[in-house]
Amino acid sequence: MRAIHHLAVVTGLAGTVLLTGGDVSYYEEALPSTMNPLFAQTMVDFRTHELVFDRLIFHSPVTNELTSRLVEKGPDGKPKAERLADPTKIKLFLKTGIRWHDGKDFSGKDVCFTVNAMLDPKTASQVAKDYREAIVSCEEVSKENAVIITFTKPFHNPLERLGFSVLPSQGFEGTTIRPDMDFSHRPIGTGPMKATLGPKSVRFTAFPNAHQNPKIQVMSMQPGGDSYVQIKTLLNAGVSGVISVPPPLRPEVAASDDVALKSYDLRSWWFVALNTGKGALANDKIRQALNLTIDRSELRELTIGVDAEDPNPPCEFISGPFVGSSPYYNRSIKPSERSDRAKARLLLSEAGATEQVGRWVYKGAPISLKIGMNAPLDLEARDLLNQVGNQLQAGGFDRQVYRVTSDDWNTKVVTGQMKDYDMLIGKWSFGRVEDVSPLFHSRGGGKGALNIFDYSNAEVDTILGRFDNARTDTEAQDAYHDLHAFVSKDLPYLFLWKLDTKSAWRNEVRGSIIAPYYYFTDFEKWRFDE
Amino acid sequence: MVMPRRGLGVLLVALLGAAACGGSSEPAAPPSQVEAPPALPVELLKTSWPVLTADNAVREPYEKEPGWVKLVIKRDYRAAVKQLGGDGGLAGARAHAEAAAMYRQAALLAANSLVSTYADEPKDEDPIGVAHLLTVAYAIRGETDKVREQHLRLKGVDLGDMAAWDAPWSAWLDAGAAWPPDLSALPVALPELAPGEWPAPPTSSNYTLDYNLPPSPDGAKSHGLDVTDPSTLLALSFWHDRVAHLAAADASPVIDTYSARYRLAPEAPVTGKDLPMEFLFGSDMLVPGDGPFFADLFGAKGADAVEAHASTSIIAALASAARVDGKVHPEKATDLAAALRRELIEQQKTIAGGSTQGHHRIFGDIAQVAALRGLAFVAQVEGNKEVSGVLRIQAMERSGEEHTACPTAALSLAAWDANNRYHIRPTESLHNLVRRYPTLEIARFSLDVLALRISLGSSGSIAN
Repeated sequence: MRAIHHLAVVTGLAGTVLLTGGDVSYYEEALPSTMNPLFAQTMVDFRTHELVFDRLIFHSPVTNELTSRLVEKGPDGKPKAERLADPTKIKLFLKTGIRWHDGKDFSGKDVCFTVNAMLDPKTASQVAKDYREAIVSCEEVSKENAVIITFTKPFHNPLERLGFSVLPSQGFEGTTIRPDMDFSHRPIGTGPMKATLGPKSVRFTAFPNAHQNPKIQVMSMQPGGDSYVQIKTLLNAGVSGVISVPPPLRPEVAASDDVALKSYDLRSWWFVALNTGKGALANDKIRQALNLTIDRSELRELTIGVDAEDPNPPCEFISGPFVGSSPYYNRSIKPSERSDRAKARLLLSEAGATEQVGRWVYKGAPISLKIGMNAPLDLEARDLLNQVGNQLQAGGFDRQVYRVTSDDWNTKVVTGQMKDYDMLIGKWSFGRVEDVSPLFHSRGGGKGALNIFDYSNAEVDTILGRFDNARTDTEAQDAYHDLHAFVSKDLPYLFLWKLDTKSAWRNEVRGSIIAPYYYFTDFEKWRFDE
Repeated sequence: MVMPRRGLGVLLVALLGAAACGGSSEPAAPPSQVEAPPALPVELLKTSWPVLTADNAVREPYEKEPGWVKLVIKRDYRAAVKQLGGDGGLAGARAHAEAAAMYRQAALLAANSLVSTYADEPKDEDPIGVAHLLTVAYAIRGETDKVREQHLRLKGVDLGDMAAWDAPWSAWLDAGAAWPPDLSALPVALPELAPGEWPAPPTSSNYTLDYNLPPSPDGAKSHGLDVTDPSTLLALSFWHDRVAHLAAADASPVIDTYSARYRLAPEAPVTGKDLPMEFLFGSDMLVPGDGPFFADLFGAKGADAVEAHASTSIIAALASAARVDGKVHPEKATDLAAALRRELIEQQKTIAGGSTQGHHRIFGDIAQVAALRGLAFVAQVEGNKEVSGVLRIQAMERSGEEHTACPTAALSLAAWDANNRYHIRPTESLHNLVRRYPTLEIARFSLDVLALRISLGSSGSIAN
């Protein structure tokens, strides 16, 4: 295998975007699933869109101050926003002279178009959901080049509710926006870079504008493939950056004088979703047996690697749907680190399964599990799919394993259309907000939009309702602690671990501050020194 | 130099181990590649602890003491305090001083979190008792007017179980609020002052505050706010600071100089003293003059300390060289820190006979991170928050190895983030630190309330 790696590096098989002249290139986990920020689903989407679009309000990646490239600065240096007599309304004064990538002028009309598109009930956007809950309307005040945004209630800091990417009104015929529109492939933004999507890569070219002037002229991105090859290519200056460096390869990167490891604040946790509506997995005891059959310590060791001396371990086991550092994480629920086959056997017997020649039989048929994994995860945890399969097989379960392409994951898995699978391995990433309701609430009425196997449990729905209606921060925290406790027993997911993300960029790329979640927020300050 | 006599070559073993991991020796580079950039204070570097300890005879006493390994290579202050024990001398004093600084920054993290939560984004339903938390928080931040303002809110309020926690603060205010407050009356049992001890008070919640809410329609009372009072963190910092002074005996004044970077706002300015080797080895202080520089930087001189100390302090010299239009420039600072590492490795190699050892790289790493942290402080004093933040983050990104993973620096960044109402990086950082220092769990309450308020007050997305 290593020989193949070396051959790939030597022959340049690592990729087609190898550096030439002053170009910057980087390896991503996959291609973006869309270039329309309203339909962003993957972290690749959010990162890519940050280069092409401007969010109306964003947080400085260094000082966390609320700021904007589209709104004028007030005398205090903050976005010029005026609270109106009606405490639900705020007036924002926009900058002038900003052009869209198609040359047209940006104005308040575009801001209000974006708001109206998000509010349009026919725009099926998960991204828009939060904004719908906060915003009522938008009114353009063209004489002042301003907009008045009305919120559902007076918010302490309404600017926190305006973190959406602004879309061009001229790019659409109406406010009903669909993911299959041409715009999803040919985006028009006001961001620092104009993007051109190819079949295997995305090419970005600088778009100097009145409000920002990027210093990197050309940049390209492509899916990275084998992680080892990615890192070798980076170290050999064949590429400028790698978005995600798996833990086993980090020491090699850290030892290089030419490349710097960069922290990327992202709350990601990994899971195996269980199809609670199908076959043997409808039985909670069998799900619990699977949870005890999986040996997380061994999985981590085989797929990610462990450094017992690491003061900040990149991978930490979890027992519920939050990272361990989150205030929502219920620390009284301990994760199962090792397998417990004896207990698993007992649970299977209690469920009515019988062991026949090393295989578990339930209701007259061997328990056979169809297991899928979001394919790009293999880059961070090599061979995880097979290792999970092997452990289950060793535990007496038949299994078939499949890699699910990014496209299928984004269009079918998260929309609940892959229910022929029994188990699906994936990860979720969160930024400032950790709202897990879309993952566990019963589907319907706009809820449960990311409920992979249409898990439905009245008690879970009640707990999520308690979270939504919490009168205090403590009530919200209690609700999620209860959710954690409940799902750790009912097991719609087998919770695996949180895995932090680290990037690596060559030292020629200067000023590369990585923004939490959105990554390229401060791209205007990035520079390439040959 | 007074060195405790225990342990056998533990540091050497650790360093050799690190050398093996780091790729052992390297061939000498051609002279043209090793010339230091002119901005580096090359002569001053020759007096730095990494270069001085490149001489085996100088390094030997440290190699023989296991406590130094815990302190410098592992950054494990608790283990170092215990290992160095009651007769640890200046080394023991250093370990307690490090612990005091760590708890100072933990207290500041809690204070900034509480202010960012209950003062910057108050809610009608917040318990009236948060006025006590804000009293403590503003006291830690040295904002005396606000301390009194918050404490007045408690007048006539039934404090319940919180009363015992508020009493020392109430007495302090009544006595004129001269720093430090006497926290001995807190309901926390700390041992008698003794070098080698490591107090570990309980970390569970101390009392519960009722929310300002009517009962819900079904008559149920809302779950109150279970508080872990941050006063304990301050009490721990006082305890370790006093023990550090006790252990340092005649050399006691260097404790304050060494801690100057991480002292709290209400603490009196420090008169700087040159630091002895026990307070340099493995630390962010590279030469004796770095201590007085930081004392003046955070004292009356402020940013003028840079030029005043540029001939005796490496950090001041780097700050001077990194300035553009009178202020530290982030890219120049970054380049200088990287050049410092290279130059120190070269100077160590020369002394060691021409081959780079693993510990040369370790010491170079420590120095590079020290420079970034130091220049971040300078930028902060210059009033350049953005640059200070950039350099703090860069230092953090280079602190992934045990020898650079200083818990005090991590907590200092966390406190800075909390003051900026940013919760993701500090919650992760504190979560990691709690594994090694369980008492830091006390700070988790304050940071959690901030994280909850931010999370519940923002819009965001989930991605796969």
